[in-house]
Amino acid sequence: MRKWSNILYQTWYRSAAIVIFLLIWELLPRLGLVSKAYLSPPTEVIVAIQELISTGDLWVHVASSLQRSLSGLIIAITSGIVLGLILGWFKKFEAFIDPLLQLFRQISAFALFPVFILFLGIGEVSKSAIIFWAAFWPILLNTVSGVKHVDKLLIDSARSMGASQPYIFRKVIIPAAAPGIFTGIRLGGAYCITALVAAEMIGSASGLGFYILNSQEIFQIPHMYAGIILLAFLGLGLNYILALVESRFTKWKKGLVRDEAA
Amino acid sequence: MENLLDSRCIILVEKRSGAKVTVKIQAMNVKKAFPVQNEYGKKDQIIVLDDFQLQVQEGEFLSILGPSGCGKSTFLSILAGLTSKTSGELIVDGQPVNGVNKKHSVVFQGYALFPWLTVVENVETGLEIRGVLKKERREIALEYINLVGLYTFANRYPHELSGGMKQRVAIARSLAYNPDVLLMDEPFGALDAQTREILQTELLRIWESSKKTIIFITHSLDEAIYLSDRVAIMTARPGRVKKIIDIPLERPRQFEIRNSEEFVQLRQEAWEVLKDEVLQAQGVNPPQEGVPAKRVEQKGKIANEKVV
Repeated sequence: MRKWSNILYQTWYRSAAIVIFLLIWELLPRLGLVSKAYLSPPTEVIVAIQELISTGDLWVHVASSLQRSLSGLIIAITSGIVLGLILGWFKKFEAFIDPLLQLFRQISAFALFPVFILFLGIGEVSKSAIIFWAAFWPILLNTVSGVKHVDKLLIDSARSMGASQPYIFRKVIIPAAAPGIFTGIRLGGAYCITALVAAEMIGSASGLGFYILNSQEIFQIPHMYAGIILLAFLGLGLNYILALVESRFTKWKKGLVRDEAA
Repeated sequence: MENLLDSRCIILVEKRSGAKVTVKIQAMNVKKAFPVQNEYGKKDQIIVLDDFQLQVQEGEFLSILGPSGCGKSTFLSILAGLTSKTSGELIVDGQPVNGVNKKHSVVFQGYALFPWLTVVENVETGLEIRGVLKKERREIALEYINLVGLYTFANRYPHELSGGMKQRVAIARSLAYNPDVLLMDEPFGALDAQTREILQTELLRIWESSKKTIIFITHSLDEAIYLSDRVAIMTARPGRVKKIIDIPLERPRQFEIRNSEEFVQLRQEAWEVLKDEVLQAQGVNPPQEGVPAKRVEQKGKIANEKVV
């Protein structure tokens, strides 16, 4: 019995903030405190989402958003990890190239958008490119630092057993750097969604980013909020999948993290 | 009476043949200097080891004892092939040391287990490096895990184990690929006193059944005397071997041997050699003659307690 009430309490406690937020959001336009022309109540937003689903438009927009973000993100993950591992391993070269990387990292993906359009046109390629640029840097830099900060004792331990350099790289460096690499991937995932919206708001005819801006321009305010909510869910879903992959690869850390938290 | 005499003779012969054992490791004039920058920003060097001489016999348990920072770990690291020496000669099995020797294994103070591998996978590492097939190496690994009494923990991860258990895993890992020489760098330094004593006794048991050559770094007098055939005492930095003390205590040794008069005498003898070095390493001047001894004596006692 006590267990049940405990679970109930936990559920309430974990969702209370969202419930209260939704209530306030519903009441503000309904009571006339904020004009409905600016803020649609959540009930109307849900109706708009249902409409989107029934017309099939939802799938069109989500699919093109997913395609852009995933293509950019996957290229960023593979190239970021490979380059990061190489740079982390060859420390001298990394020290040489690091100032340049730090400079590039500071260049906003949005600032580069005109450049991408210039080189790649206004099509899908430049959209993927902006997403790639945003997601690439955190992945690269976290991988480099993950490799650089592998405990020297572990490397010495493997060396003392007669391990070759390729063995150390595969069996010590990569698993030891994995937590850092995944931190980079999660950050890259978050940046990728941000860049996606910006890319879709400029010169696009589909995708959630386009849908949000377009709904605002044609005064379909509930639809605008529907797009924003869907985008938030897209980000949550992406983060959830990345977290799942991470826990699959760093299973050994589970108890460790719990211990540290306790 | 005759029987007794006979058996005595055998012991004598054994001892004599034991005395003839081959030299396993020989260090001659080993020097190690690290380049550093001094306070004026100019290039300087710290000499960690200088004129280091040591001979280790096959099957011997030799401890190296010295004040902190005397270079004992550096010597072990050079011997393991992990660090290069500046000059001098280091010969193992008649061959000069050149990189990591696959017949050596090292046990580190910090355990150095791979946190992403289970106990059994950790112990398998050395065998995997040597190309032993999966099934066989698992069998061997489990055998050694059993030897250190951790059979039921074979599938746990290191962070689920206590410090003493981790060090047992590290010992099992170092033994699994059957090295000739075990290099132990203050392996029990991070453990509490009780765990430490249990592991010392277990290490002796394992050594007595395997008869590997063990070089054991420690800064504990009791540990060195209890475990070793000989104890090499080092000077403060730059480190060299100041004196080697034979430990003729009979084997197998029980833990209670520490209370014997012989043990206490050996301990006193070793402390006499070590004392000045510890004081010097801590920046305290050795006692001057003619100065009232009381205060200095006290300092010595404090240092003594710290060392032990």
